[in-house]
Amino acid sequence: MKNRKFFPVILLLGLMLSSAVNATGPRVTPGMLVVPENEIFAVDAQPFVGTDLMNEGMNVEIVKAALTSVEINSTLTILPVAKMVKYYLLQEQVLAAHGQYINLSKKDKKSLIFVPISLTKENYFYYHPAHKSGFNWQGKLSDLSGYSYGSYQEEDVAPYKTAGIQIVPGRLHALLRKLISNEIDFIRMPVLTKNWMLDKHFPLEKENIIAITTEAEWVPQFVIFNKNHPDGEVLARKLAQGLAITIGSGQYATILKKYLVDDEVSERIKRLNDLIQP
Amino acid sequence: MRKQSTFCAAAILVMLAFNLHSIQAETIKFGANESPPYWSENDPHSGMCGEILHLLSQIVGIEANIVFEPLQRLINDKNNNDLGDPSFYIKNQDFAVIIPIALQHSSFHYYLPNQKSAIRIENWEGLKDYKVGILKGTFTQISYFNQLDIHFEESYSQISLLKKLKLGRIDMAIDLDLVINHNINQLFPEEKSNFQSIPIRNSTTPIAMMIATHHPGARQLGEKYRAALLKIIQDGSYQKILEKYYGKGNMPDNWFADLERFGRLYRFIQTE
Repeated sequence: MKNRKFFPVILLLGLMLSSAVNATGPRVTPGMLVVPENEIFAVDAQPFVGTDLMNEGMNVEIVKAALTSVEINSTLTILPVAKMVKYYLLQEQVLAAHGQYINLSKKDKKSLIFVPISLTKENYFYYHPAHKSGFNWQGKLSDLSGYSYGSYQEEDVAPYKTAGIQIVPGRLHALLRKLISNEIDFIRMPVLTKNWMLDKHFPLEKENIIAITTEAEWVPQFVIFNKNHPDGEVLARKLAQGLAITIGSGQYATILKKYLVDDEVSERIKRLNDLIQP
Repeated sequence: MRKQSTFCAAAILVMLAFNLHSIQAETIKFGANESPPYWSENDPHSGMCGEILHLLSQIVGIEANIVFEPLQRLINDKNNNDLGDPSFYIKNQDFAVIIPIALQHSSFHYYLPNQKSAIRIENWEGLKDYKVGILKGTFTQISYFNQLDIHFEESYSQISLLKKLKLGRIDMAIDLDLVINHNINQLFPEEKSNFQSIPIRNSTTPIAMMIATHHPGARQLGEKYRAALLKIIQDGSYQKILEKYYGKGNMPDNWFADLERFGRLYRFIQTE
């Protein structure tokens, strides 16, 4: 009965703290008033790119710093799903796109230039309470035959199918939920994404999401330039130049240090240098 | 004879039940958020877009039921069919069909008696000296606006935004043109000329019907709805609905080119 007295206060507090959308209104984005300049379309992918992240995320900071160092202004448009970014890249022939799980065919790739901008550690993860003895991973996908894999919408799932793995497509948040409710057996994502998602959405499950493999795989992240755009090839070269400048000046490391521990910063820079060097 | 009539009665009952099932199967339920005059539970046609949807459904031979719910509840429901701006929904849910059926445009709106003179806004920097109201949860890329030192005051409803404008608690509101004009007509009809607007050039967004991936026969149904949309645009009945709400000859420029552009984009991102 006592609690009832506080109910309106709790309700009001809940409303005040909520970031929920209450009524249909215009989404207020920079693009409403900005004339785009060297526009790059990116997929919302925390913590690398995101509308609600500090400076729109680590990868956005890297790209902006690199292009600024070669005196190029750019506009970043963040879109909610990979397929939208793919649409603009391939159908509207825009200058450039950024996003990891954009499924591109061999034919598509012929008209694109991939500029690596960073490396991320990725791993397969499972829910420990559902698989207490873990997985017998020996380094091949076929070791996971018979299990179900939560894939991203635009991910190339052919290797999993060939290995006899059942595919359950979905969005990252939904896949994590399915992993925890034992509807799927394993998923793949960058370690940084796993940490970010668990902190933000599933803090009580942090100890239960375990990597299948002991060693994470280093995966490059790219800005993809369009050769069919008149400025595509020039801007691709400019971004590569800009990256070299920011790495050389230490600015690249400064950006990474905001998001990563020091030993990971040097490892990533070394690996990116190896990728960029001919 | 009695046996025969019992059999006949049973057969009729079975047929009735079958017909009832067929009638029920020819219904599709959509969720929408109350935002007159686009969507409204209190309007006999369910608003401008409701009128378009019902006309399309009539051509397709299906009954569309619109259930009005708070926007966040619609966004959180990952299995329902939705009506509205797809960008609010597609991050959480896959749809087999996304058909833009109308467009919405936004402006900076202000109450002239509270300002020394007419306001001009060319870019975001121009907002620094003003207190700007927006709807809660519609604000994206916060860092961008923070860097420009632009801060918004959030409101829970469009009515609240309008009242704040009139009271001088905010200088400007970013809102949908049709919605704010509707609310001015409802709340302050005698003050229409005192409310001014500055169109925002890149504010056009689509209003779409979205059919969930698990909906039976969604893709085929979507094709029928697309054909029906084309038909009502070609025979002019679509334009007649729009003119009821915008006024004759007041339809926004580039309407059909923009509708087609959004149609291409959202068709591409539909889930197979």
